[in-house]
Amino acid sequence: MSDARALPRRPDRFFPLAVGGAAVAIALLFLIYPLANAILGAFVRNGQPVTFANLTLANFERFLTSVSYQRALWHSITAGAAATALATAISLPMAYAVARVAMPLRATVLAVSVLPLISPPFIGAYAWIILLGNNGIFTNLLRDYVGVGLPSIYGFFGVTVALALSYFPYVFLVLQGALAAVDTHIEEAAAIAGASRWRVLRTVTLPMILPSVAAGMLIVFIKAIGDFGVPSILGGEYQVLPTLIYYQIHGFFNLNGAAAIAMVNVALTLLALGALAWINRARAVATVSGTARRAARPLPAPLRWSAIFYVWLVLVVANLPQAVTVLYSFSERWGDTLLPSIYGLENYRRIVGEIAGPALNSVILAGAATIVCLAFGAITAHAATRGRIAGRWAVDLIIMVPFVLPGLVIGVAYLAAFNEGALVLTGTATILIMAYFTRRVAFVFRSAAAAILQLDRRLEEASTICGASWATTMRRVILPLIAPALLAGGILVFATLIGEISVTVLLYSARWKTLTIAIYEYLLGNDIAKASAFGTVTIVMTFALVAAASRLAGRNMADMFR
Amino acid sequence: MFKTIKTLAALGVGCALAWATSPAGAATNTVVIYNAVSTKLIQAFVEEFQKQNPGVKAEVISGGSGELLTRIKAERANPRGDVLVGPDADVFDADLSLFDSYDSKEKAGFDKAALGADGKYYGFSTNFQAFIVNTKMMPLDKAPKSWADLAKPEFKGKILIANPAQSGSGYSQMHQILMLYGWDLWTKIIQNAVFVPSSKLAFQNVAKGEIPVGLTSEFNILVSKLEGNPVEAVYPSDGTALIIDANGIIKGGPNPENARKFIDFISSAGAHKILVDLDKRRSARKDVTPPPGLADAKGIKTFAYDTVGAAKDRTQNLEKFDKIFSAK
Repeated sequence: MSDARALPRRPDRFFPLAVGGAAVAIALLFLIYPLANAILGAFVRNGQPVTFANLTLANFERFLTSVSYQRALWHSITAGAAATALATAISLPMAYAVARVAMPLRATVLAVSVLPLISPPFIGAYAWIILLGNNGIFTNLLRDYVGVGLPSIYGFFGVTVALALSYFPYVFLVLQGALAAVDTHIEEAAAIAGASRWRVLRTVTLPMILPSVAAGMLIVFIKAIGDFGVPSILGGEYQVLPTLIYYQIHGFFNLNGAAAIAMVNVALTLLALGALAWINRARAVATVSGTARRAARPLPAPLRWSAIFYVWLVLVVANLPQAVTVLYSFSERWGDTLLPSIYGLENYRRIVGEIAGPALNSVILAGAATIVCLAFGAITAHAATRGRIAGRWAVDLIIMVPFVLPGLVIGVAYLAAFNEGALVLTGTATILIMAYFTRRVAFVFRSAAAAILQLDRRLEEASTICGASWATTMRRVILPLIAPALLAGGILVFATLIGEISVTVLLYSARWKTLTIAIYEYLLGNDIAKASAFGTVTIVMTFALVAAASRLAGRNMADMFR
Repeated sequence: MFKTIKTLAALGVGCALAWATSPAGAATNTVVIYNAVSTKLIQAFVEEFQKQNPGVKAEVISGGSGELLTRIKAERANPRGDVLVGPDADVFDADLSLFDSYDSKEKAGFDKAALGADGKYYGFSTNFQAFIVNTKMMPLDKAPKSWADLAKPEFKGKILIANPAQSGSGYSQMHQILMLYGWDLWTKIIQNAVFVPSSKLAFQNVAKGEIPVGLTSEFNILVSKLEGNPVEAVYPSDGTALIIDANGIIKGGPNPENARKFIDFISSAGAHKILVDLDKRRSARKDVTPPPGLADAKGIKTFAYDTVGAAKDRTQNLEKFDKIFSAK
C-alpha cells in the first residue's frame, strides 16, 4: 500500500473516479441495499421491523433447543468437509497427471471436466438414484454379477459422493492451472540434487501449490454446504442447513428464521476463509516468473497409461448424471426395466416448438450477468488488491457473503427490495441479471484478485512513469495480463448461471422464462423424460458456447484455468 | 483476446440498457397465472381460455406451491400475479387475506366443502390419499390395508412418507392421521416410516423399486401405472380424507377483471373435463365423472378434511413432529 501512495499523483483523476464511482453505486444498489435488510433480519423476530430496540438472538435459539437443527448443522459440516476432502483427493492426482504427464487430448480432458458444473437442476441428483439407488442400474449389476452390495445412497454416503463429484472441477481446474504455472526448473533442481520423485512432490511441488489447493477447497466447501438439490433428493431423513432454510421460507415465509440459518452458513464459511488466510500466510511463495514452461515429465509407460486411465475414469464417473439425462431424453417408455424399453425422438419432437425462447432468454440473461460480473469483478479486484481503497476486507466480505447466501435468500431479498418504491424492477430482465451478478461475482473477483496479486507491481509503475493515464495502464497493461483469469472466471459464471433455479423461480416473468424454468415445469408435472430432453439441450448448448468462447479468445481451455 | 472481451462487453452493455427498463407487457390485456400444476395441463387451459376470451393474453409463472406463495407474500405491497392455480386448499386457508372474494357463476357446480370461505377459492381436484404399493417388491395381500397397519412392526423401513416439515402434502397426510387417531399412532408410524423431503419422491421412488410402499395422491399412482410401473393403489380401510386443491384470485393483482374471467373458466365443467382427461384426477365438481382407472368413490371410505384446523395448528403440530422425529 505504501508504495502505491508514493507514486507521483497524476492529473487524470476523472476516469478512475468515474469508474470507481460506478462500481460503488452498483455495490450499494445491488449488493448492499437488498441484502443488508435480509441479513439484519436474522437478528429480529419474525415479521418485526429492523430497529435497534428489536435486536435479538432469538432466531438462533433453535440451534440450542432443537435436536433436528443441531443435527442439520452437524450434517452440513461433516458432509461439506467430507465432500471437500473427497473432491480434493480425486483432483490432486488428476491435476498432476493432466499438468505434468504427456496426455493425449489434453484440451478435451479440460473441456469435459467443466461438464459436471453445467448441471440442469434436480435432474443430476435424480440420476444418482437411477444409477446407485436400491434398485439402481449399477446396484443391480453389482449385486447380480459381482455379488457386492453398495451402501445405501440415501444419507451421508450419497450426499457426500454426489456433492464431491458435482463440485470437484472447482478444485481440479484451479489446481491444474497452478501446477501448469509452477516453474519446473525448481523441481528439476531438486531432482538433480538427488531427491526422489516422491520427495520432490512432497517437499517442492505441493508446498508451492498449497494456496491454490486451499482456494479451490474453499469454493467446493461453500458450494457443498449451500447445495439444496442434492440433499433434497438423496438426503432422505438426513437433513442439512439448506433443507431447513428452504422450508422456513417456502413453508412458513419466516424470512428472519431463514436468515438466521443462512448466517450460520456464512459463519462456517468465514471459519474456512480464516483457515485459508492462515494457510496462505504461513506459506507465501512467489511462483510466477517469465521463464515458466510446461514440461511433460517422462514417465515409464505403465505409469503414464494408468495416469491417463485414472483421469478418464474420473471424468466418466463424474459425468454419469449427464449421461443418464441424455439417456432419459431418448426414452419413450422407462417403466419397470433396468434401461428404457422404447427409445425415440418423441421427447424432442414435443419440445421443439417450445425451446427456442427459453434457450435465448437463458443465454441473454446469463451472458449479460457474466459481463457485469467481469467488469465489476475486475475493477474491484484491482482496487482491493492494489490497496487504493481502505478496508479491503470489507470489499472481500461484501462480495463473498452473497456468494455464500443460499439463492432463495437472495431471491426473496431482491423481490422485497425492488417490487415497490423508487426503483421497481420486478418483471424485468434487469432484476434477474443483477441477482445472478450478486450470486456469482465472487468467482470473477477471486480469480482476478489472484491474477493481479501475481503481477509485478513495477509493470504498472513503469506504465505510469512513462506517462500513461490510469485508463491506459488499465487497458493496455493490466487487463491483457489478467484476461485469461477473467475469461476462466467468466466461463464458470456463465456455465453455472445457465443452470440457476433458486433465484430464477422467484424472479422470472413470463417474458423472461429460462431453460431451467422449462425443466422445472416438466418436473412439476412428473415428466422426467421431457425435462431430460430440455436438460440435454441445456448441457449441449452451454458446452458449445463455453468451447466457442475459449476458441474465440484464441486459447484452448487448457491454458485458461491457471 | 482482450479485444473479444471488449466487444462482448460493449454488446452486453447495449443489450442491458435496451432491456433494463422494459418491463413485461403490463399494460396490455393480460392475466398473469401463478401456476402449480403440470405444463401439459396449464398449456391446455391457456389455449382453451384464450379461445373463449379472444384478446386476453394468459401469462404463466410456474413453480412449486411453496415458491409461488413466497412470491405472493413478498409482492404483497404491489402484487404481480392475478390468479393462483392448483395448490392444496390449506395453502389458501393459511392466509385468506392474500386472496380476493369472488362470486363466480360456477359456484353451483360445487359442494360447499370444495369452496373457500367468502368465495376466496374454488375447488379444482379432489385427491384421495392412498398407499402406492410396488407389487414386485410386496404382494398386494401382504401390503398395509389401513392407517393403523402402518404402525405394525413388519413394515418398519418399508413405508415412504413426505416429511410434513418440508412438504405441504406431507403435512396434509400427517394431519389426517392425527384427525383419525391422534398422536399415539402417528408417533408409532414415525418410528416405522422413512421420510423424504419431497412429495414427488414418495411415489417416484416406489415406482422405481427403491422401497415397497409410499403415501401419495391416487392419481399419481394411476399415472405411474399407466407409464408401465408395477404399482397398485390401496385405499386405507379406516377412511381417507378428501383433500382438495383449489384456484383463487390474488388480492390487488394487476388485472382483476381478467382474473375473474379466468376463475369462471377454470371452474367450469369444460375445464374440469380437461383436468380429468389429462391429469387423471378426480374433479371437485359434482357433475364431472372421474377418469377411468380410478376406483369408484362409493367403495372408498372417506371423511371430510379440516383444512382450516390444519392451517391453524400447523406451527404447533410441526414443532411436536420435529421433537418426535429427531428423537427417533
